[in-house]
Amino acid sequence: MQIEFLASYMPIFTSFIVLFAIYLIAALSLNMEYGYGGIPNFGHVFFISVGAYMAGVLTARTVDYIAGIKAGYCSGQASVLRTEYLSSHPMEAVGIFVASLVLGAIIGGLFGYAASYPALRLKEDFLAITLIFIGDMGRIIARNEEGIVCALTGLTGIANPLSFVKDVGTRSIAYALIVVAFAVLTYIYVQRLAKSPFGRLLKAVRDDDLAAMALGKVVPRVRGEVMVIGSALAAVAGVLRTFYIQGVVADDFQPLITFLVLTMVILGGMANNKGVILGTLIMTALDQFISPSFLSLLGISVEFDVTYMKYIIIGLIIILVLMFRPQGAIPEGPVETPALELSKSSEWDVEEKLEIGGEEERSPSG
Amino acid sequence: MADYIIESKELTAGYGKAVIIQDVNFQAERGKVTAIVGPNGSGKSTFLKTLFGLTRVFNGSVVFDGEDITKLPPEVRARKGLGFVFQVNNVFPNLTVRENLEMGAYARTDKEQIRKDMGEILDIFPILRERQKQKAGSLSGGERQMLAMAMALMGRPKLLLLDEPAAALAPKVVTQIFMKIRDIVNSGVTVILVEQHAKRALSFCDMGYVFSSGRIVMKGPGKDLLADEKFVEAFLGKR
Amino acid sequence: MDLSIPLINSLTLGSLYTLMALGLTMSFSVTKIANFAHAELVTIGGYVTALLVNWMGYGLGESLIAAFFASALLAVAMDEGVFKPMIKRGSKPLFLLVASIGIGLVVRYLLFIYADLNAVITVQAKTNVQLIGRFGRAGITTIHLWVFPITIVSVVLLHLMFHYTKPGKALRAMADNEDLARVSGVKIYTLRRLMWFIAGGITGVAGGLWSAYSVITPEIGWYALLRIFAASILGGLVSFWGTIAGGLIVGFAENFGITFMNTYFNVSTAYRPLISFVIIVIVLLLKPTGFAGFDIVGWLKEKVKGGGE
Repeated sequence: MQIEFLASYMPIFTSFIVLFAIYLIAALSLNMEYGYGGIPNFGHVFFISVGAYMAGVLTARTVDYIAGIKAGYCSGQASVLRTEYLSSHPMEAVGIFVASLVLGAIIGGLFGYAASYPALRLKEDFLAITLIFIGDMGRIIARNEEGIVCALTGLTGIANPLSFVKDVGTRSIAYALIVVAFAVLTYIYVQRLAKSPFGRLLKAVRDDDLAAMALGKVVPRVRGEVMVIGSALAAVAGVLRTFYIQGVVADDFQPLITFLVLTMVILGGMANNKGVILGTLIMTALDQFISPSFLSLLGISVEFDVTYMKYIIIGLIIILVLMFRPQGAIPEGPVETPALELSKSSEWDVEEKLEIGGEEERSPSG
Repeated sequence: MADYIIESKELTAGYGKAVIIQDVNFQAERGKVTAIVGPNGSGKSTFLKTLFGLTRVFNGSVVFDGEDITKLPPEVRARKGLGFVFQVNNVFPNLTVRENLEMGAYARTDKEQIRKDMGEILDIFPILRERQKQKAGSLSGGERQMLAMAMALMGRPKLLLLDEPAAALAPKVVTQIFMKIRDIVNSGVTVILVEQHAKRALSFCDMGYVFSSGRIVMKGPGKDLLADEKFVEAFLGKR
Repeated sequence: MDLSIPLINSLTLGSLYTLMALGLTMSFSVTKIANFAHAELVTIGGYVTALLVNWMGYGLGESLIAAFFASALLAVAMDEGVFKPMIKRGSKPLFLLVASIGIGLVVRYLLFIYADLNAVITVQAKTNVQLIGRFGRAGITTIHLWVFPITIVSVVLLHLMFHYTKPGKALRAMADNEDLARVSGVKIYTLRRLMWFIAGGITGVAGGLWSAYSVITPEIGWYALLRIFAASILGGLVSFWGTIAGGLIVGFAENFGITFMNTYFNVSTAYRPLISFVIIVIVLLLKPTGFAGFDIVGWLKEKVKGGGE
C-alpha cells in the first residue's frame, strides 16, 4: 500500500527534480552574467530557446534522414516514426543527444558572442530593454516558420535519449539523474569560476567604473566571455528541456520565462550561487504547484486559469524583494582572497575607510 | 560676537553608508567671503552639499540665520535664502538661457520684482542678454559659469555657495568670474567658496578653512593662512 | 499597389503610438526609469473605456476621460508605492526597471483574472462606427475623428504646458538635472506626481482609443510596448518632438514595411513587430550612448540651418 502510494507521487517528484535542475542551470548562468558580470541579460529565454530549437531541429532532421522518414517534417506520422526509431536504436539516440548538447552549447555561445556586441556598447538599461525584446523576437520568428519548430503546432517526436528503457518510471528517474548531474557540474563550474581571478575581475568591472577603465582593453573581453559562457549554459538547459518534454513549441519561450529565472536569481541573492539554488527551489515549486493539474490533484478548483496567480506571485516577489531585501535571501559574500583572511584577524581601520569613501569630486581639473 | 549667517556643529555626513566628512564645526560671517580649501577628495564639496541638504547627515546640525535647518529638504532651504552654484552640471542644458534664469527665480512669487531683477542681471552679464534665446547647452564653459551664477542670483539668496567656480576655465575668464563674485559680495550677499586653487581662494577671502580627509585641519583669516609656514608646506608645496 | 489603406493605418496607429510614447518619454526623462509597467497603463485605459462603453452605456468621450483618470492614478500609485520608496532607499537604476517588470506582471495578470471571470479576455468598445468618407480605398470612420483630433490637441496642450507654464518648465528642468532643480527650489516630489499623472493619463487615453479602434486583450499593452519603446528611443527617450516623429515613423514603417514585404517578398504579416525591433537595434547601435539622444528634429534643424548659412 505504502509503496503504491509513493509510486503514484513519484512522477510528480521526478518531474519536479528535472525542472528544478534545468531551471538551476538557467538561473546559474543568468547569475553569472547579471549577478557577477553586471550584464542584464534579460533576453535569457532567447538563449535557452536556441538550445531547445537546436535539439529539436538536429534530432528531427537527423532521424528523418538516417531512418528515411518521408512523412512531412511537421506531420504527426513523422513524429511517431521518429519516436519508434529512437526507442529502438539506443546508440543513435544517445549519440544525437550528446551531439545536441555540444552543438546547442556552441550555437548558444555564438549567439552570446553576437549579443556581446551591444552588451559592450549600451548603457545598462538600454541594454536590458534591447535584450528583453531580443528574447521575444526569436519566438516570433520561430512561431511563424514551419522549418524550425513547425510554427504554432510545435515539433514533436524528439524522443528521450533513454526511451529504449521500457519501464517509464526507471527511464524518468534515469533521465532526472542525468539532468541533475549537469546541474551539479554547472554549479561546480560557476562556483570555481566565481572564486577564480576571472570571477574577481568580473566583480571589479561590475562594481567600479574606474577599475573597469583602468583595466582598459580587458573589459570588453571579460564581458564578451561571460556572455558566451552564460549563453552556452542557457542553451544546454534548453537542450535538456526539449529531450525531457520530447518536443519543442515556440510559444513556450515567452519573456515570462526570463522573468521567472530572473526572480530565482534576485530572490536567492545576486552573485551568490548558493542563494540561487534556494531561489530556484522556491520558484520551481511555485511554477510546478500553482498549476491547474496539481491543484485539481489537491481537489482545489478555481473559476479562472490559476497560472495567472503564478505570475502575480512572481511579480509580487520581484517587487517585495527589490524593495525590502535587494541583496536577496543569501547576500553576496565578500570577494574571497588571501587578503580577506588577513583583514578578518586585524582591526579594520575606520579612518582609512573614510578616505576611500571620499572620492566625491569628479572634477576634470582634479 | 560675530554675526554668523550659517553654522555647522559636529557635522558628520556622507552618501549611503559612507561617512565622508566628520565632526565639522564651521561658521561663516554675514556679508563676508569664506573659503574652503583642501586637496582633492578632502570632502570640501560634500560639506558644501551637506549645507544644502544634498547628502545624508549622520550627526550634528546646520543652523542658518538662527534656525536649525538640518532636516529640511534642499528645495525648502532654497526658499529660505540659500543659493548654490555647482561645480559641474550647473545649468539646464536643454532650457534656453532665459528659461534657466527663470528657473533661478522659481521659488519666488514677486513677479514684478523678478522682471526687474532679470533686467539687472542681464545688465551685469551682458553676454547672457545676447544669448537669451539660445539653449544653455550651447554656451561656452565661461558663459555657462556666468549663467550658473546669474541663476543663483535670480533666487535673491542671502547666502551663496560656490563650488569651484573657476575650475577648468581659461585664466582670463577666471579673473572675470572673481570680479563678478566680488560684485556679488559687495551687493550684500554672503559667499562661501570651495576652491581647489588654495592661493587664489585664500587671497580672495576673509576667512579660510582647510579640509583634509573629511575634517577641518586649520582655519583663520585667509592672509594669515597664506603666511603660515606649516600650511604652505603641507598644502602649497615648497614653490 | 494601392497605398491609401496603409497610409490611413499608419497615421492612426502612429498617432496612438505617439500618445503612448509621449507618456513613456515624459516619465523616463524625469525619473530615468525605463518603465516596463507603462504597458499596463495602455491596457487599463483600454479596458476602462471598453467596459464603460459596453456595460454602462457611456459615450466614448466620457469613457476616455475615465480612462485618463484610471491610468493616471495607476501611474501615480506605481511611483508612490514602489519607485519612490526604492529610490529613497538608494536603489540601483536597473532594479527600478526590474521592479517595473514586477508591477507589470501583477497588474496584467490581475486584469487577466478579472477578464477571465467576466468573459472579456478579448473586448472592443462598441461605438457607433460610421463611415464618413473615403480616402482612396481606405474608409475614414468616426473612430478616426476621435483619434486624430485627440492626438493633435494632446500634443499642442503638452507643448504649451512644457514651454509656457511654470510646472512645465520645472519638469523640463528636472529632466535635465534634478539636483539643480532642487536647489532652485523645485518641489520635485510634487512635480513628479504631476508628471506621472499626466503621462499615465495620456497613455490611458491612447489605450482607450485603441479599444475603440480594434479588439484588445490584457496583453495589448505588452504588445504595444515594443512600438512605444521604439518610438521613444527614436527620440532619444528624452525629446518631445523626437518622440512624436518616432511614433509616426514607427506607425509608417510598420504598415508600409509589412505591406511592401508582404506584397513583394511574401513575408508573413506576423513579422510586423520585427520592424520596430529593428528600429530599436539600429538606433541604439548608431547612437549607442542612447542617452544623448537621437533628436531627429534637432538634427534636421541643424542640417537646415547649416545648409542655409
